Amino acid sequence: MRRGVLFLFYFLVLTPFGLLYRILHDPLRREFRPDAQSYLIRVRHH
Amino acid sequence: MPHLVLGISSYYHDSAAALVEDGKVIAAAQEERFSRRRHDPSFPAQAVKYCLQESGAKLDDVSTVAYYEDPRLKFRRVLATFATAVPYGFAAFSEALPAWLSWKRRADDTVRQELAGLGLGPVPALSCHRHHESHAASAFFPSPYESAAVLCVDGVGEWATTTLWHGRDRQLRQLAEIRFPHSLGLLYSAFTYFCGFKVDSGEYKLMGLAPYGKPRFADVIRKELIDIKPDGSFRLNMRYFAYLHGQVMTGRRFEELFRGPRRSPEGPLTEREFDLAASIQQVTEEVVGRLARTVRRLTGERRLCLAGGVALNCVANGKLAEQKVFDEIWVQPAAGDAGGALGAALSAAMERGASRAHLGTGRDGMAGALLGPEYDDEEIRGHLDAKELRYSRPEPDALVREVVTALEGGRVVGWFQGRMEFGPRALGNRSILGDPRDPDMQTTMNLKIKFRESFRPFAPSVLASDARDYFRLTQDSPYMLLVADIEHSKRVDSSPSAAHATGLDLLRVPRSVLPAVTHVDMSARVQTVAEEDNPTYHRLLSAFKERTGCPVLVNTSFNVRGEPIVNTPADAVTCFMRTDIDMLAIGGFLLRKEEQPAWHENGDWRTEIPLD
Ligand SMILES: [Fe+2]
Repeated sequence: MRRGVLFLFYFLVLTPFGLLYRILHDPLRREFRPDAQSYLIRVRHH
Repeated sequence: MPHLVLGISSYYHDSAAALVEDGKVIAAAQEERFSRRRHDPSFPAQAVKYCLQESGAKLDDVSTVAYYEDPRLKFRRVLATFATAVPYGFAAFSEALPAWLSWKRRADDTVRQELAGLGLGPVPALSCHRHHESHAASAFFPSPYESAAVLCVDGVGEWATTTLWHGRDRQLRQLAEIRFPHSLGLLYSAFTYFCGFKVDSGEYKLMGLAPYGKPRFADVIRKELIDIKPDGSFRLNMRYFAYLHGQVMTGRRFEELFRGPRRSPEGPLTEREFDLAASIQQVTEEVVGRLARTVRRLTGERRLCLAGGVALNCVANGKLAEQKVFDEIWVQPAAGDAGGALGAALSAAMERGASRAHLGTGRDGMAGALLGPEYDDEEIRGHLDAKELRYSRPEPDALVREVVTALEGGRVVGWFQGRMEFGPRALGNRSILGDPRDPDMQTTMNLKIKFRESFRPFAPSVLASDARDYFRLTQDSPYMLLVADIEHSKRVDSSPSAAHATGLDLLRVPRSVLPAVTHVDMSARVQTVAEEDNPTYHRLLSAFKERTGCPVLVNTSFNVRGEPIVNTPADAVTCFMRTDIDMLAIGGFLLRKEEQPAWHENGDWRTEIPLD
């Protein structure tokens, strides 16, 4: 039962949302950037 | 009224508790030592109880409980990962999500409930500290430096997998980070997995394997798996890894890249595994070296503090020390996630105005990492009597003399003294010792005591004052976290036929005057022992030197493979009786194996302890 709910949620809700999310803004930043000098994310302090 | 902070790490790998009083570390221990389950991830109930007992405090006396990561932030990372790994990750998703929804996303509440369940009184306020903040705090605050650069590299906590910091006095300022899934720790673990070892514990074996191989895959790794920038920052090519959508580390593409499937855990080790180990080791050293140069440039500091699981890679640390990127480095002895408990506690203490009292003493604030339980002679005697074992109780000097005589005669000695070590290494209080000059000692200890593969080298303990006569060290290594080469004068020329030996055959070639601790590449994982850090162990090493001229002993952890390091006298006696350890020096007592009655146990312990 629970697995069925998860299954439906995964493929009907999460999959379309996730695909769109990843196209618009990949939170995991998978792309290699050959032109970039660095992949460091600088932390700003206020 | 002293200000007490209790630190806790749990629910991932190697749970631990630590207690800090006015900024001073009072006690710290991993739960595995009490529960006897290796890398036990469950709530560290027994470690918490021990820490409170050590200080004589009640839970009520603790002003803050500090948790080593932020479960809500971690949950967001897990969700973002599931969402963007579609449509391949359903199995992992359905497996993991229920636990995340029901309790993991509020693990701090669970910690509160568990603490209440201990029945030790009202639970104090709890604060969460980010995973890398905990690592950084564990690296900097107990270090002997007033100010320093700090580098933390691990698998993953919330988002960060690599962080760069500037530590000054009681403050830590984060400068930069690299985020999940780009992780040097996970990259190393992927190779650990691919070579047939257990992730999160087999990394050590992979590192030990590296000297047998040639780094012929290093270029493939750099070209296909990881894009490394000049400053050491990097991204991984996620097409090759399976940890975003699967429950394993590597997938089909990884196998194609290295021409063949992953080695099965009990399968034979081949040239390919040796070369993979050598290759990933080289890449790791390159990244760590570049990151170290970057954090040096960003901070202008001349000293570096290290933590995070990758900081347990003592070969990479040794290279860093040797290259003199920094004048000196200090590595948190519990660099893995167990140390997060200590870091979180220190972080909370510093926020509340605690001081770093050890500064100015020239020593660090870890008390030699001897932060665990201690047992007095009455408790020990009670246990020995209950088991009807035969023992003597010589004067302290006589005990040391008898141990030295046994060691000199090629005997293996269990050495159980004082407080248990915090962190993965035994540092001379829960150790098995031998004579490093004995050419058969490595094989004897591996097969008869540890019951494990023979390719792994043992570590030497050396008197700090004599260390540089034997090892090419640029600084002290009190926590066995720096690898250094054997001094040229201590090496021996091997025969011409030996020059052609490859793989595990290299093991049988004599290499130095300390064959039991010299790895095939002439390196050793050194522990330097200073009198201030461990007077008892220092006395033993000094006596051994007086008798033999050699200030070095083989030091391996007091356990058999797959088992946590012993904690109590009962654990030590059991390990002593199960194995071929010849003598046990436990507190003031001395036990000889040949005098003991037969040892009976129900069941076969060898099948009960899981393989590591
Ligand atoms: Fe970590």
